Amino acid sequence: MKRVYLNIFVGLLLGFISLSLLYISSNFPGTSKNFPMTMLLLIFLLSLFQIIISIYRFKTIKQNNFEIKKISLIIFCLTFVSIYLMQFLNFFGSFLLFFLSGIYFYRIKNLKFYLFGTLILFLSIYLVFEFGLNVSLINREFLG
Amino acid sequence: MESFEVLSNLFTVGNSFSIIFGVVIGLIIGMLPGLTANLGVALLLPVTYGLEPTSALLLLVSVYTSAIYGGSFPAILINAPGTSASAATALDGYVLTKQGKFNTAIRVSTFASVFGGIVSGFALLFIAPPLSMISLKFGPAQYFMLAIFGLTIIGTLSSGNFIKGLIAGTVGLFLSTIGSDLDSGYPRFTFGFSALLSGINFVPAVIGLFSMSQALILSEDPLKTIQLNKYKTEMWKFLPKFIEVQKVFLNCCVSSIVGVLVGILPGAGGDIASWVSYNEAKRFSKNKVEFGQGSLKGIAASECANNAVTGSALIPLLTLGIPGSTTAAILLGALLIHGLLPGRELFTTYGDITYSVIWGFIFANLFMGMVGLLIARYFGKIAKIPNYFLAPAIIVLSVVGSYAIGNNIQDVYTMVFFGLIGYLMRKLNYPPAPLILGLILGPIAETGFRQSQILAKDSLMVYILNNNISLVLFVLTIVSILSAIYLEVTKKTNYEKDIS
Repeated sequence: MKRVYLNIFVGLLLGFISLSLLYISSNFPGTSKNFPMTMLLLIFLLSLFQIIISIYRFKTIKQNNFEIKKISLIIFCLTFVSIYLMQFLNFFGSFLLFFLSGIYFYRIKNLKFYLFGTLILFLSIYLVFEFGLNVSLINREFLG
Repeated sequence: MESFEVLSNLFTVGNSFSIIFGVVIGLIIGMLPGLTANLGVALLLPVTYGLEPTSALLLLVSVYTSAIYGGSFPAILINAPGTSASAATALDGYVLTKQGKFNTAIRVSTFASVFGGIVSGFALLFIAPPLSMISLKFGPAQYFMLAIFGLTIIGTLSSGNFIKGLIAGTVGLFLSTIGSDLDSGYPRFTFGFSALLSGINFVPAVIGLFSMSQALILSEDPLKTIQLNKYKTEMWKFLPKFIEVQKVFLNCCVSSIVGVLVGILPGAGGDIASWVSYNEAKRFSKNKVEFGQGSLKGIAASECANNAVTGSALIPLLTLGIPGSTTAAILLGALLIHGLLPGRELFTTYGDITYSVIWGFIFANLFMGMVGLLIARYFGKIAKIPNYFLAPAIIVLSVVGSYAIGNNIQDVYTMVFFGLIGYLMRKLNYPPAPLILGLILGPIAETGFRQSQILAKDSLMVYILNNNISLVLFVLTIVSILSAIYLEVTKKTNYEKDIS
């Protein structure tokens, strides 16, 4: 999608969200609504300005196509799943699977370096966080 | 504060280790193209939770300054600046590498970086304490205007896209209102989620916006490898030569002043300073033709200025709470985590911490040069670390870092959410720095806003602007907005001219 269309789309989305939240915040009691309402009104006005600028520059901005690579979304989803799995497998088990799945998704050929690097990284995390800072990464009770 | 007391406080085992660790990690991060000082400071922020405030801040400022210096290595050796602040260095540095004079380029860049860093450290030491006196005159109205000004200026300068910067900053201010209202206890925008009652913790948000999103960007090109020029490490001669130092000394003096001045301006970071300094060095040079052809003065100007920014960017941060750069915005979060509020108290009540950190910053700059020259010969191996390892490693460190804040899985989900937001923001050219600044400054701005509302007898606007400091800040805010609009319009006109 071309960036100029996307700017208009994001402006419309932000405008819609800010108006909806403005409606919600109008029901807040006393002075608690004043600051958020002011900010939401500002977001709405700035989004409107963004849309106007994008339309005004419609002809001049035509390069820079917007593209999200599939691999980034896959890695994001894998991260999310790994975090969820932490409560069942603990941190190290879950993220070891994350690293191993990286071999397939990143199409890694130099396995020796990758696995050795992973081992060093996990060992460092264990020493710094679990051992040094008392962060509970193994006990699953805390990871739920 | 007695000098001896400060030095004895500085050179404890913990503090010394923080400086050494920070310098080494910062250098490695800076040497890796694609990784920035912001990412380094954001990733290490949770590690500092368990440390004493002095050690914690020393670790972070050491990472900050050495990452900026580390960026000069890939700029010189492979024409790929490790940080945006080293882009100008590549112009002459890479030419020298192609001529086989990489030794000279690295030696000059090291001398200039250390020189700039030390000058900025002394600027911080001498300018910040008297400037902090102004903060004593600040009340609710002034703090409110200060938060708005800080946000406008960083939104304006950080990306070169005024509207998007402002939108990001305002969204950050809005996000800071999520959670229980401090006065009435009313849950605002929680939508029934009890996890949101305490609001959005800005540390996982920082990690997500700067680290997780960068890992997703790196994932786009996992097999990317760096093409290294063949240079023999046994040929490495790292001791700076007197003649080289003599050649660039005057240049370093001027560039460090430029860097300090640019650094004090909120929002103007190392990249602006290095380009301004490079252009000035070229303008005043008798031999302008040598710039871009492997000029040592060009390398010195750029490197000296970008490191001179690191200390001076902390001046508005420590005195008024306005960060001078994106990394300084993250450091503001670090100060607040350790219960340190920017202002006069930092130099009086918490003087032992603040002066130790400033002196530690100066020593870190000195140490950075030595370590830099020692590990320079291993640059080839460091720069070869592929994206397919860096990206998952950053993700894992982001997860463990955000979890370490309070052994709380909600923080990890917050980090991941902001990671996705940060990735989309980068793709859409929205700068993430104003959003995080809005999130940090939000509570200060809202408190100032509400106290002003209570104190205002007539109009709120009249109350806020009814004093000199607020008025000056208001005028500066308007000037910053107008100048940004002017830049937007001229950018458009220039673009149309280019097309025609």
